[in-house]
Amino acid sequence: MIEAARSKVVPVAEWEVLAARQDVRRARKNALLTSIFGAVGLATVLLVFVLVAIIAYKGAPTISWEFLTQPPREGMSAGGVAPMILGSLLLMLGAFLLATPLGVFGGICLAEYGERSRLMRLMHASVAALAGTPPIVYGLFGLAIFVLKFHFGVSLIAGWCTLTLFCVPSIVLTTESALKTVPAALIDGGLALGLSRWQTLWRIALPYALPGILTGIILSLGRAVGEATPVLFTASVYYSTAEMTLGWDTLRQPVANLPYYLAEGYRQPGVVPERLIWGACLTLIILTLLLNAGAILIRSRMRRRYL
Amino acid sequence: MWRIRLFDNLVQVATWAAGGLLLLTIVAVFYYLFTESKYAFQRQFPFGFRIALQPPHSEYRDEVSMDPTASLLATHREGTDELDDAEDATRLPSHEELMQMQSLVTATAQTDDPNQLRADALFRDCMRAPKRAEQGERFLLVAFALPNYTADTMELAWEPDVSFDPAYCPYQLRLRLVRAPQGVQVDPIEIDLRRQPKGRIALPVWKAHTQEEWLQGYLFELEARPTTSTTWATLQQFLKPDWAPTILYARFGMLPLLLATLLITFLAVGLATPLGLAAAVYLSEQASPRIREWFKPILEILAAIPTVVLGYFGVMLIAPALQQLFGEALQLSSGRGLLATALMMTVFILPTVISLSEDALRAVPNSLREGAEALGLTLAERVRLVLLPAAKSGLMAAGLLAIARVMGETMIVWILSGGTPTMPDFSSPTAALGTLVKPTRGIPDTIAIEMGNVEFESPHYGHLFLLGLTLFVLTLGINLLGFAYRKRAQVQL
Amino acid sequence: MKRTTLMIGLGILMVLAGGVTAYTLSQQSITLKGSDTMLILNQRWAEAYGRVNPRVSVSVTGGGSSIGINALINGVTDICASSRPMRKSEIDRARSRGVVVNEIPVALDGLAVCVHESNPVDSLTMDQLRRIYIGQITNWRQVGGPDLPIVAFSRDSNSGTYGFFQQQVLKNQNWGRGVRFMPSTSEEAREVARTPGGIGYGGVAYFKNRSGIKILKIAAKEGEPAYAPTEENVRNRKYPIWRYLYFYTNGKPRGEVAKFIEWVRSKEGQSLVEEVGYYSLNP
Repeated sequence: MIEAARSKVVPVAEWEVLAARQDVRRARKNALLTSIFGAVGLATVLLVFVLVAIIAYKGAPTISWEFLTQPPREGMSAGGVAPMILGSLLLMLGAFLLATPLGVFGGICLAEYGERSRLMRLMHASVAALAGTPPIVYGLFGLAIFVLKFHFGVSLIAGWCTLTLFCVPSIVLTTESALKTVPAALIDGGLALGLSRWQTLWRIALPYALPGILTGIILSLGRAVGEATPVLFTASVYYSTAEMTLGWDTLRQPVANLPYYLAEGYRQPGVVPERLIWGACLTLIILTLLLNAGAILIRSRMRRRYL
Repeated sequence: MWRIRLFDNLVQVATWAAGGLLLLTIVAVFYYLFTESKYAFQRQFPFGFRIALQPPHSEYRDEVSMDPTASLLATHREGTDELDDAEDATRLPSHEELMQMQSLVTATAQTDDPNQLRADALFRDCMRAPKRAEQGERFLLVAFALPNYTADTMELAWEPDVSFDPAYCPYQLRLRLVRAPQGVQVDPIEIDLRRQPKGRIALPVWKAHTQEEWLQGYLFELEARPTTSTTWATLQQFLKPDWAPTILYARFGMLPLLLATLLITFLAVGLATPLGLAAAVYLSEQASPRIREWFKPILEILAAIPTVVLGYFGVMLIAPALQQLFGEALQLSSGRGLLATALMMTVFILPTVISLSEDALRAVPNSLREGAEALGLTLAERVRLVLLPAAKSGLMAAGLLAIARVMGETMIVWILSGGTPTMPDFSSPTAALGTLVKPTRGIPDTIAIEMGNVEFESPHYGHLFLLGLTLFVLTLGINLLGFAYRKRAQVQL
Repeated sequence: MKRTTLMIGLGILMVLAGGVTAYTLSQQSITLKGSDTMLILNQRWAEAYGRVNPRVSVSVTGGGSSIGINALINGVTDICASSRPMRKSEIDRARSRGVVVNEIPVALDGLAVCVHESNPVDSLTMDQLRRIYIGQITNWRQVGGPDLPIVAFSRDSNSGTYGFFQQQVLKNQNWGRGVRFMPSTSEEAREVARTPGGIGYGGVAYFKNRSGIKILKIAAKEGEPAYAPTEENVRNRKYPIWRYLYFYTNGKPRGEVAKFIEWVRSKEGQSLVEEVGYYSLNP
């Protein structure tokens, strides 16, 4: 037995050699894995570029002044998508006007009273639950309640209500978290100076949290513009000769919008030419990107002002 | 001074009002989601059979409906309770006219009381308003031959009506001989139509010579008795593997939809998680701050692409590619199916996975990293042995939130999944491949497709709400689990 | 403080002024929902009517005849466009909701059956067509064609064309297992053009002038001559699968809706029908 053990004992130098070999193996494995990580990172970037590039390549030739300002003509095979762009913007505007006050003040309410009572905690949990609900559930709800039960019909106002419902939970959550980041020192300082609770809120906490709140609002709206499901059966129309005026009529009429145009247009390959659809895809992406970029810009500029 | 107090009060009132409205909306959303589903339980369960006397050994052995000498009988359809013979059912003509048209007759009566049978109130078809599962139904059938019938036996044949599947019927269905004609000896006949939905039985020939004699022919009874209540029957059917809400005998089994959604989610998250995790590791451990600064906006661009656009991209470019790859082998008409959907879903969920995973990894305190460095671990080992276990809760949260988002995503599934509800089949490798690339349909896009097509407050409408409720509860559960893990991650670190 | 109140006041005034003027100058609107078969037709009518009568706007949505019928029953649309007649159960349901169904034919159509252009089969009988779609006939050689499996395409269940086909051709029998359901006729045509063994059906306007497919002649019974869905054959009902395309309204149409429907049935409106590829009511 001692002979066997002795034969296993290796001189120090060899042991070091073995350890070195082990190190080499580990180093190789490390190199492989890190390069895989890097490759995946690179592949993701490439994926985004390729995706956007293909859509831009297919859609850019269609985008022209005519495309952006003219309604569809000749059986949807020519002309542009102006009513759809206008409709999408109208929907977004209405959702903005309705969801912002409700969402921001709701967020303030949760931030101020959030931990006080069981009811408040339940509300917080419900809002979080609603924020994570799939948009199709909002679409179904909107159809059943606003379009059918409340007899709004398929109309702009039903679309506004549904989109508002869709946006409010996330605005509430972002407002609340933005308010929570206000340093306690600032609030205490305000109270120490003799400001009332609401004054501290309005003049100190809110301005501090404003960039975050605005970002949250604009990002929500960006989602609202791009989501087809909440507006699919509550506000959309394939083609309409209606002129959108500032009257009550427009509220009760359906609006054409970009996501619905895409969702319906692709189903009619013989009628709506492919290039128009790609053009609309590109327009929608650019619209969403502009919104998101605007949000980021606002956030960075306001940050600089306050900090 | 008063201005400040007024302002204060205004802001306070606004906050309270918003809180109240918020509460109201939350309550309304939950309330309506639950209560609108109640219409699903007002379902009526129609059933239908074709029962007719047939000559034996006829060329129409297997097709009851094709024998011109037989007649359609006891079909149970939507209609009014009064038999409108102009539109719904055909009254039997006079004896002479009948003899010119056929030689075997099966007819039904409007009453289910044998003593109230009248020869001039017999109908070729029978259509009555569908009953709910709690109520039963009884049909009386009269069967006889006419003098011009020449063969020496006749058979009573029965089969379920087109698209009616007795397995989906919550009734106990029974065909029973009530009374044989005078002087005819025949064994008692009692057939359980659920166990034997299709069959034939021989009867001794009996001829009726006048209209009055019709009522002295064979008298059968088709009885439907409920086996469960409507509520329970609806729930049971909801879990069956057949979704066909617009056919006559509607079926609302959501199993294929659920399985398709689960498969898509499984595939998409299964594909996106390793890729996203690898990219997140790269971002948090290897990339220089400059690269990180560029990476974030690029991810945000990907996240900003609307799902409709992703769906269109998929249908124009990915599906045809899949069609080219697998089209010949599996005889596909288009590449739309689970695989195409899962691929575009991966693209959709990748930015979310990457950013959430990166947040989780960055939350790990640097002391752990320094410790690993001190122990001489390589980067890969540090990731595997230290970071991933430390960030486990956060990564679980990321995965769960991604699952919830993928489950609820509608447009990609609608455009790319193919549109026909199909049950997944993994019995053989070919079948498994077929399931992946053949058309199918998930829960969210079923809601979207059929939403425009429902009548307000009909059972179909109620079932769509049940589907929405299922989706809501599923995503809610997963989200809650994700939040719990996130909280755990915050506590741990 | 004074400035802000002034600004707010002016703003409200402007909005009110705009709203009031717009209200007086506002348009009347007509909603038209339903059949995908008629979508190209409805859209053209809407476009042209917008030039004839700019004070009235027409909004057109597709989705399928069932969607239009349900919209009519739910009271969400003025006119429902349907490529099949309403069923008695639907009329009853409408009545139970207080909707009186009024049927107005607006165009004639031959439901065309198309196959891949390389398919030598030229015509089919109604019975053969039925047996293909219920799954009894599965290979082209069973109807005199090459040895090629049949791939049958159909519209999906939202479609009136689907309902009409099931009622008239399939005689209410069940669809075969291998039938592929497509969401629109244009897509059906595209798939048939891509599939050598394909067969599909739809409104004749979608198949005319479509490359890659050819329209079959249909015979009513074995032994009878087969007819193509040309205008003549549809008008004299020789082509077996002819149908009307309908508008449905709630009660007799009134006001602008009545004027629009009248225009649609006039010479001007009907000439657009011919342009799109369907057939006008009267020659």
